Amino acid sequence: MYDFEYHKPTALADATKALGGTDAKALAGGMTFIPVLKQRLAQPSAVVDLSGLGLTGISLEGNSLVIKAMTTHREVATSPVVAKAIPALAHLAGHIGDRQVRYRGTIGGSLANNDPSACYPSAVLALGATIKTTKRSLKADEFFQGMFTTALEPDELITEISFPIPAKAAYEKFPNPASRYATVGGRRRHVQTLHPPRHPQRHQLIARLAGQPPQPLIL
Amino acid sequence: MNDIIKGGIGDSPKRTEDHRFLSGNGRYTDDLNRPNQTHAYFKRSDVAHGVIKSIDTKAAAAMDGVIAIFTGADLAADNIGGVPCGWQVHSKDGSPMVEPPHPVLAQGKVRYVGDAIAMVIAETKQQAKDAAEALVIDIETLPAVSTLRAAIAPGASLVHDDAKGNVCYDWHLGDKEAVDAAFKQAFKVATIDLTNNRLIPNPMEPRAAIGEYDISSGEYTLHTTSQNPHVIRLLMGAFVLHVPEHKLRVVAPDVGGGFGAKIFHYIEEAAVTWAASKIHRPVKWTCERGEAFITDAHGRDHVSHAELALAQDGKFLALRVNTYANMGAYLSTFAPSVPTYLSATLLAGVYTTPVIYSEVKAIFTNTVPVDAYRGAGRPETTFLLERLVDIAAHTMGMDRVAIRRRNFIPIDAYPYQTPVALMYDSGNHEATLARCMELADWSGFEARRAKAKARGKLRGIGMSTYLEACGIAPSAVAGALGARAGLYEVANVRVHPTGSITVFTGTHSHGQGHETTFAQLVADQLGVPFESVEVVHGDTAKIPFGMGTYGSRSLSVGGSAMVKAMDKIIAKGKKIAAHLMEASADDIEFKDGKFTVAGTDKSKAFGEIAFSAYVPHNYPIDEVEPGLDETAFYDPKNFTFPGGCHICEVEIDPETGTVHLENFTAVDDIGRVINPMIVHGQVHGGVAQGIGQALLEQAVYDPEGQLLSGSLMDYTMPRADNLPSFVVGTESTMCTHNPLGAKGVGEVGAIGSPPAVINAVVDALRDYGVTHIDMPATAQKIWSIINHAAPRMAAE
Repeated sequence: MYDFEYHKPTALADATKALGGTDAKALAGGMTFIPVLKQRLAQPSAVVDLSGLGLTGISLEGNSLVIKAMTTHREVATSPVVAKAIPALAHLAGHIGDRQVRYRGTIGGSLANNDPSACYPSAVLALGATIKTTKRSLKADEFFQGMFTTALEPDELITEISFPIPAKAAYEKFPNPASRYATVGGRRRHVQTLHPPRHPQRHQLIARLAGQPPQPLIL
Repeated sequence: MNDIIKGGIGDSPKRTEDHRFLSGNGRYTDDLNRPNQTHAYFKRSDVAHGVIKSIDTKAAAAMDGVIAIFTGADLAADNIGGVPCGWQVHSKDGSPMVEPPHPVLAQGKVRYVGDAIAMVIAETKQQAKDAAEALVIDIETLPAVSTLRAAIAPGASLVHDDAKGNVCYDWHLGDKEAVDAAFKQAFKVATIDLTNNRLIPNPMEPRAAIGEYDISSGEYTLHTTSQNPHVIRLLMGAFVLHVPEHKLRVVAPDVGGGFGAKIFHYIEEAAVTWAASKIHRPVKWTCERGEAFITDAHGRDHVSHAELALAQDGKFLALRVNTYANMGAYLSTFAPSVPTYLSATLLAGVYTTPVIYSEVKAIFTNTVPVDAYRGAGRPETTFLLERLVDIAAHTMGMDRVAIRRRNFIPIDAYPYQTPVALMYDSGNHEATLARCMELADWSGFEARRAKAKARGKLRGIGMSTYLEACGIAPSAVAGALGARAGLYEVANVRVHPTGSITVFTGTHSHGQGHETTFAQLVADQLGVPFESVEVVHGDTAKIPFGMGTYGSRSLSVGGSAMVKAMDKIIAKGKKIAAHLMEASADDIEFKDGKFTVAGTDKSKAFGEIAFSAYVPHNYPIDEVEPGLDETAFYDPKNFTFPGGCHICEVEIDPETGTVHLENFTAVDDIGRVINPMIVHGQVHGGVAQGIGQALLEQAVYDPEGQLLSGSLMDYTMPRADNLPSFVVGTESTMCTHNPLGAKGVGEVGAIGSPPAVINAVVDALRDYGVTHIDMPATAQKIWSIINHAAPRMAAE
């Protein structure tokens, strides 16, 4: 790890300001970022810790499930609200990494990192979620731009993710035996149940193949 | 031996060492910090093969906290040697193996990714790393050979100029003409081509070393993560640093797992010890996980072709094996012995195959050195043999169990001379087979297969019936086979005046639980409470000598040395007791901690005799010296030969190719058992590693020599959820030539299990025309087979 300045702001405005400096990086759960730092694969001038911003919480807003960006996988996995609204999302969160990762890793961190093997991006895409940031609201397919690449600007932070509640959804992954990341992850949603689609796989199975293609695809 | 007493032989007291390990109070090398300590970081090659054109240290040397930067030139100028190889193998033509120097820091060339180029020493590790990044190193890249196949291809780039064709040696064993003649008589021939996959050991504790030099006494001290501190002292002192033993102390404190990878003398040990004498400050180095992947010696990596000649009744007539063994870029300490004397000598297995011929070519590649890894040679041979036997059964249309039974060495044939040098002293293969089949419910399998089929799953069962040679070894035999050291063991039993006991052993415990097992052995033999025995290991300043722990030798060789030392204690005690009780020493019996005059009720407790030995007021001073402190060196007469049967049952999901382990049963004949709980733990660990090799683990290099499986995110270590609950049984056919009857258990799990797993996988896929799958049997390979596609082999 190289030396860096450490900031732990308590207001969003301070966080985005700190990120506006050169080579500053945001730290959410750090489940990818900390190993990257330890291996000297990144050399940020400053690290802005988002854990003091109060960006956690899960709520229902109308027909949407809203999860704030710093909510951990464990919180999503064990939330009665999620379990009722989108049980498949709770299942997904409960199978990310291991117990330690689930207590530290966050939904916002996972989306901002956009690892092609991660679980959350496919859920966000498949469920047609909206990603709210400090600057705007983005539809999932606008947000993901390629492997480890998103529409986020350097000083822009995800604040919450809003999932429209589907009639049915499911998530399955085929984990890589070493990393336990998804080799292939697939999510199905049924938007409406009265007339099940004729070719659900084609239209609604969202598959992410390890590394290629580099971002979620709707097959 | 006595009946089971509390804390004695056969009891399972909890491990005394575990309290400190589990409460964070272990003292591992990295936990130690010396006054005025500095930190070393090794700048390593990131190309697999190249010529070092220049190293510019100027900018780095000027950086904050930097104390010294050393390169190969500094070591050469100080006449520091390379790390030596401890085993010399000769080729068929009698010529010695090609043994290129293995410099501590690269001299002119780098030969694998991870080869150390420079050592940066600074006040902190961060500063050392920062400075290492500022080194300007110009390397002209050369073509690399990263696999066996690439290294033996015509015109392949040479790892060492004097190793033509990259061949280190071209060795053979056995009677080629007799084998050729037997094949002419064969009714059928079973053949197999296989790769024994390359493994990366990954002990939980990474390697670490702290070198110190005392300018006032001229003494060097090395704390290191070693399985054998005396061997490190011998090799490093005599061959590398040219420091005599009395000026060099090597300490291996608590060590968190070794699995073979911590046997070897590594360059970092020599580098930090030497550097400490240059800068007159302690130098500490701790390996990082990623660094361990590219510097700890790897295991296995053999490619073999084998043929088994069969008679019409299924008897094995002859076996012919041709193996290429990857040595990596340099010869690690015991590397040459692994595919030869630790491997080919076991090709008889548990069978009466009358003639066997084996050829082994050891090959240099631009990869991390390859050496002994849990089982060392015996897993490779057992996998080859037990897969070939299944193929033979298939070829003959015979039952897999029946063909094994037909060829077993019968119990009345022991001691049994094999055609490949070894003389087995004892074994009972039918007993372990029958018990394992019963525990695994072999006969009920077809019903389980049918049920699985109804659920859409492919179920298979497989077994291996194996035998291995361990308890290394008789020094004279090892020496004749090329070992450059003796392989005896040493024990010092020190009885204190009040009757408590400290035992100093030349073996080393790095997970095996010696502090418990050896205390049980001593408590049982001397009739003292288990709690009053302390076991000391791992320090050349405390222990007379020793060869360390590997090859499942600690109990059979080290424990036998302890028995010999205790025999001396008892003999001396009898003389003291005879004097005190005014009897003849011949009439004194020792049992249950008491010296008794035979046929009387006169007795003296062990503690009374100990006290008398140290307070010799009324003492046979003309006959024996005061004190009760005895040392024994024990050199075994033969290897020991554990054996057994492992049965594995798997279920494959045909949609994904995923293998699920349903049951794993192991019955191992390991001779005398001291602590059944520890023995079971050893089998569990070994089986887990064997399953890791069979289903999960694979070191993969790309053609340029970059290690693609260089992290725990890419290299699959077995985890708890990959494994079923094991069913473990033991049989005890005693070893006939050591005083304990012990054979060794450290490696049997890793030796017996891989073929059982693959035999089960192949059995599950029998409807797909599969006769062999190379390890690891990944979902991808199996899915490809099921879908009639050729399996894609990794990095070949």
